[in-house]
Amino acid sequence: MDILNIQGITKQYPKFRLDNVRFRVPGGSVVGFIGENGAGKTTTLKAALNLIRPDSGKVEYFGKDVRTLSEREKAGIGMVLDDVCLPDSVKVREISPILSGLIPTWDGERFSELTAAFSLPPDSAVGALSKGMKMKAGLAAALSHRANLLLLDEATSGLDPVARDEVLDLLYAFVKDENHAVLMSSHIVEDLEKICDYVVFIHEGRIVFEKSADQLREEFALFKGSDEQLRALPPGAVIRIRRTPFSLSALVNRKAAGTRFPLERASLDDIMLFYIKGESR
Amino acid sequence: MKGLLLKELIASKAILRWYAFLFTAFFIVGIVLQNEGFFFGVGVFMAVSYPSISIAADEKEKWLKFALASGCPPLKIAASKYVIPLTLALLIALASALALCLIPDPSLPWMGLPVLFTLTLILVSLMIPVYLRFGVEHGRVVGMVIIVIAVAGSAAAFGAFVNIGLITSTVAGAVLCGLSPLLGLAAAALSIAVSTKILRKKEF
Repeated sequence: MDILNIQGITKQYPKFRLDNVRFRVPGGSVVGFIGENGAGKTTTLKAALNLIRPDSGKVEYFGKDVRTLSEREKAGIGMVLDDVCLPDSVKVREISPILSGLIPTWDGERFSELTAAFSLPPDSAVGALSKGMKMKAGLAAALSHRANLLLLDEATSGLDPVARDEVLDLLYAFVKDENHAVLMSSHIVEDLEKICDYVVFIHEGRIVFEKSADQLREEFALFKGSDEQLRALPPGAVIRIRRTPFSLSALVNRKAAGTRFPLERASLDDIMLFYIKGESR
Repeated sequence: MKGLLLKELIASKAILRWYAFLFTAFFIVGIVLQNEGFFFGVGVFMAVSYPSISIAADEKEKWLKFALASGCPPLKIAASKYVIPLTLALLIALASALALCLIPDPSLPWMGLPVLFTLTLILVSLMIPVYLRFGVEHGRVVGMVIIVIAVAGSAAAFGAFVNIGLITSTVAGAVLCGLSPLLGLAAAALSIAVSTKILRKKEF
């Protein structure tokens, strides 16, 4: 069952076009949304939150168009946007009374547990918190919705490795329920590699691929060698090539490349870099 | 709505405290000098300028985006922006009524109060949609014009009551003045509808 289904979203801006973006977020999964700055990740998440009006296409949450969701249904989507959006003048302990009056499914006890777990000082104003602590406050709020879907836009940026690990554990626990799912964009690809079941890669407003973590591991590999060795690879094996004055490397299809040359594991960073900076054969 | 109002109150605590201090100071000076006009303008200015402060804070904190993304209906969000300014307008009208009781020979007739209240409501109703549509930064020019109209309008209305005594001299005029807040409330209702439409169409 798909919790979120993005169906051909197109949105034209003066200098940018989100072009026929489509992918799914299945229940019980974490979907990593990757791409360089300005690729269209935040715009896509905004479309999923009905914060922008696409020129065409639609977004469905549990099969229902997000534009027609009721207040209670919409509360089933928890989000942390790149800017946390909690009022600066409000103290951490005041967040729960405010959001309980705003979000019909609010769970105050859960919020208290999470703020304690994140060591958020209850008497500090949100504006006085560090970026990482603000992010934790935003995450605590998103996880206290009794939400089915979490949309996280760079939610782990600004967090130290220990806090990031705690957040990933929380997300992992969250998606154990088949009615829950997470769609997260992040530049910390290491986090995505740890937790994602699927990865969607967007480049210049277009989806390059939507693959499961297993598919990525099986399909992509790194080749490092000489021009001569590269030429010896089967024609369909080479996806992208990167040349520097001192080295030559290529992103290859593991199966098509065969076992003639040693191949290395391609990380998400590598895959992104090759697609964005690399050249075709 | 409860959450939106609570946020509004907590976020505006400092400015509301400052407003209370300023208005009290002007009120006392007005009573001592036996010049109620001294604080009428300040009161109207406060109610009319409050939305720009509140909406500017919302813009900085991206609160409206958060509230809409959380599923809060645009109507509730829009309506929440009117509660404090309208309450301020009412409190200022009540304080002005108290002043008229305390000043032995006030220059403003009693019937001027509902008209001032109506004027404040209309100005607030004009400004909030402008700020929501264009943002406080861009809407500031329009806001300045509205504030100038507010001050000039209240002064003109005040002068009209004092010098001409035209409206209050007739029963029909007095009834018209007494019922004028209905016009203000209608303007507020229309303005809430416009603000809701703006929020519904707004992209973040």
